[in-house]
Amino acid sequence: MDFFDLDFEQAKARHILFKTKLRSILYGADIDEAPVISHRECALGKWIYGHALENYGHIPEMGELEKVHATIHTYANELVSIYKNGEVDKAREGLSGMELISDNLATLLSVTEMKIKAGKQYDQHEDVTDKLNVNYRELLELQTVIKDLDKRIKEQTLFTAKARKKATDNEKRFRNLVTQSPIAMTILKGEDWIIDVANEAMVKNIWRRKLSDVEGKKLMDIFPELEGQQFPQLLRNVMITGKRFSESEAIAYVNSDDGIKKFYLDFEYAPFFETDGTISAILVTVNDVTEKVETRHKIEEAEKRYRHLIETLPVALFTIDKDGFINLYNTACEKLWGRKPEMGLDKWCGSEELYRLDRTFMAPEESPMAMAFKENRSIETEIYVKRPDGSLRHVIIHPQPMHDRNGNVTGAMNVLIDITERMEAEMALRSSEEKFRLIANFMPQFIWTADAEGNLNYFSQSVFDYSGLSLGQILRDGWLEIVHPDDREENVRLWTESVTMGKDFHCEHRFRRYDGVFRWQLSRAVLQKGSSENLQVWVGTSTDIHDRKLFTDELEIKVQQRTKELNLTNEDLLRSNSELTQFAYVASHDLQEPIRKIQTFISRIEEMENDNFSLKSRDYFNRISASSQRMQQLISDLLSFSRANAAQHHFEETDLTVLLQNVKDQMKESIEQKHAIITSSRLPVLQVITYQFEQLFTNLISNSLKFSKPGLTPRIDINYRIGKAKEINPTSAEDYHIISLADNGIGFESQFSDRIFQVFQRLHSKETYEGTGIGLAICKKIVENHKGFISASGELGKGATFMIYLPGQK
Amino acid sequence: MLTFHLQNLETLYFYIMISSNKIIFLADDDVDDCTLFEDALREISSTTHLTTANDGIELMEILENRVPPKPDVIFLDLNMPRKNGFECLEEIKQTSRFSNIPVVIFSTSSQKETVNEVYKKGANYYICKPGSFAKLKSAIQQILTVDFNENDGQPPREKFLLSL
Repeated sequence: MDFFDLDFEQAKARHILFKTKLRSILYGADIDEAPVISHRECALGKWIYGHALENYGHIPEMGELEKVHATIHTYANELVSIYKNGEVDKAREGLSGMELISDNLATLLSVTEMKIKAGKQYDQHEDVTDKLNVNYRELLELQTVIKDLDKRIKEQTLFTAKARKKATDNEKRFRNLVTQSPIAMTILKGEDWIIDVANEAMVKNIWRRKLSDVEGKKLMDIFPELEGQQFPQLLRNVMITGKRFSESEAIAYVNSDDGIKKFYLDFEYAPFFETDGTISAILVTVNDVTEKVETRHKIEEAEKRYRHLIETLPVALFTIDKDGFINLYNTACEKLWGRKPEMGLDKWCGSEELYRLDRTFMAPEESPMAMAFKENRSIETEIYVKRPDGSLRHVIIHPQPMHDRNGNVTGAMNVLIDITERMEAEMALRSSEEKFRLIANFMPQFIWTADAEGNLNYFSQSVFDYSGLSLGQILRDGWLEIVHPDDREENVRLWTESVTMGKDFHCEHRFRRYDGVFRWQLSRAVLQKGSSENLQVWVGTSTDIHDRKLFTDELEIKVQQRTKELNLTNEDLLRSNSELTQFAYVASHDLQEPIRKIQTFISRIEEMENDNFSLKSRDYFNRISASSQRMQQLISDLLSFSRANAAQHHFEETDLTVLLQNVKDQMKESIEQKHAIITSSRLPVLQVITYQFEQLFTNLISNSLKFSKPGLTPRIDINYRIGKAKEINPTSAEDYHIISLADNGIGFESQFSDRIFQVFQRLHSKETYEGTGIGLAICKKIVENHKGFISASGELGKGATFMIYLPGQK
Repeated sequence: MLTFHLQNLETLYFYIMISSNKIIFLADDDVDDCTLFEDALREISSTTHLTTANDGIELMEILENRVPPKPDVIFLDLNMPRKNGFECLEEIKQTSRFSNIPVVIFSTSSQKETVNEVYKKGANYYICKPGSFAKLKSAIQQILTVDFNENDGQPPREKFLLSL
């Protein structure tokens, strides 16, 4: 070991120290950078510039060494700068380059050492040598340690490079994984959440955009609508805390060209840590569960509706659990039971008590519900449900077991239908139908029914008795077989018309009797309208009208014949009557003239020859005079009477009150002479032949005045009312104008009440009361001309009343 | 020379009326009635001059030939052969020469319709031939005292038919 060995070993050791220091810096050690960065501050630099350059400068390799050493430091300085810039890996990668240059330096050092040793004598400095020997051992030791460190660091560097490669590979694989995942994923990098990568599931389904539109962009720039939703805050939290965050069924609104869309999302934010522990990115995983959630919501809604439906069902419904206890029932059920069941206490049935249809008691555990549950089968039956108030309801119940997915019985559901009213109605119907059939079968008439389409479906016993056919025969061959062939067509026409129009059926036709004889029947049918179409039923009867019809036909012929005869007679009568009237008129008119002349000449003789009559002649002459006067009166009255018959009548609207007043004015003299009092009520305005009514009133008043009672002031009361003419026509419902005229005269015996209206009929001798007996006949005629009636009633010595009935307003 | 026994003014007036010789026409086919009318008229007045026609045609001929002077009054029966009273009345009232001659209907019947009809046609009075001579005289006397210049010669309807 000589001085040169020592010196060069020292230089080599110093270089190793430098490399160690550099490596330490690049791996984060906090040491003085100066000896690493500057080639003069460096220990080897001090060796070079301290003595080596001076002592060994003559060796060309020494100059080369100095340059390489400077280069090494330049490079080292560069690596430190890179490292400080944060490009740690790049800096560390540079170490392998450093090793190459470093190897170069080591070679130069060895060559220099070799050349020096070859050209120089070794001076023996024993004491230095000892000292140096110590240092040398130490240094050797240090060198070993450092070499070991250097080796480890080298290994470490290599390992790190391998790990880095592996990480790069991993990231690549991860990116692939992200891209291909069916679950939407994206990686947001940095503070600005730059969209680094996003898979198709995310881009297409959630974002509804193109990858190129979002890649490398800031999340919040692309989706400003996220502001205001919870996500930015959550992302920030993850960035700060480094804790992953996940949430299920979070509502998210994401906008796109197709508008804003609502999502239900299961998502996770996972932080990305760098090797130094910082968070560089967030992995966002999103699972779109919108459809699932909405479906569930729909199911929940449906379930809610279902429960509501059950609750409001008009049909009673309840369920039991696996232990037989009632766990659900609706309002209708509660109403049917008349009580609220006690949940968890009432088993099998919620009603007070149950009874079978034979009214025997039924224990709850025997109930159909219990049976259905225990025997795992559906049951439908009828029972009575007893309410707390004691009333029984007739119920159809239909329990059925409920199963889970594996077919195990988990409970049972029971539907109850209250048919009490229906049963009562059916009972009533049945009893009324029985009554109908009983009556129908007792009737001699034929009773039959048909459905709404007109198909006959029931016949009373009398039909079978008459036709000699059985129900089977009639149904097989049709009822039309019974009808006379000549009547069938019309029968079918009428029946079809009735059935189509729904109007009453009415038909006369002949039915064949068991012995082949056809007899006339009158058939009638009415449609009984039920509450619905299929409840409509035709109820028909057929009555035997054979004898009546034959009789009616015969009668009709007779009546026609008689009517014809009557018409002829009537015409004859009219003609002769007219002739008679004409004769009466002409006769009476022409008779007036001679009698007037006779009277005039009588008066002439009386005047001129009065003194020349013998006593006897005088008497005879007076009788002639009286007779002629009477004759004149007769003729005059007869004329009036025949005139009342005259054909042409002129009806005009006449106020009878005014008319009566005129009559009274005209009769003023005779009324005053008798001191008679005539009272009258308001009379109607009617269509009458005016002059005839004047005559009517005149005649009646004259009559009353004439037959007034001596010594008593004559009173005549004329009244008017509207009423029925019971006395004349008891059956008529028609209203009549009734004018009555009552006097207080001598009256008459009631037996003569008809006779007084006949022509020339008198009740008194003409010596007692003058008159021809035509006045009242004229009255009768006049009233009859007005389609009315006149009647008289009276009592001898008390007075008479005349009633005039005139037809009322139509 | 007539001597008057003046009982009252009415009687005086009556004599003044008849003293002026009146011309009277009578149309009636009935001989008896004509005789009675003549007798009655003669008993009432001796100064009147009566001309009688036996039917309507004769009356109209007389009127044609003898007028003027106009008669003071015509008594007209209705029921006459050849030409009846209604036709005569109509002709007289429609001929301006005769229209203002008073016409008194003198008929057997007094049917209301008939009376109305002739009133409408312009007849001045209606006498229903009475059954007594006294009444006949009274009727003629009444007519002779009428001043036909009053009321256009026709009285109101209710006074048209002379009451006897």
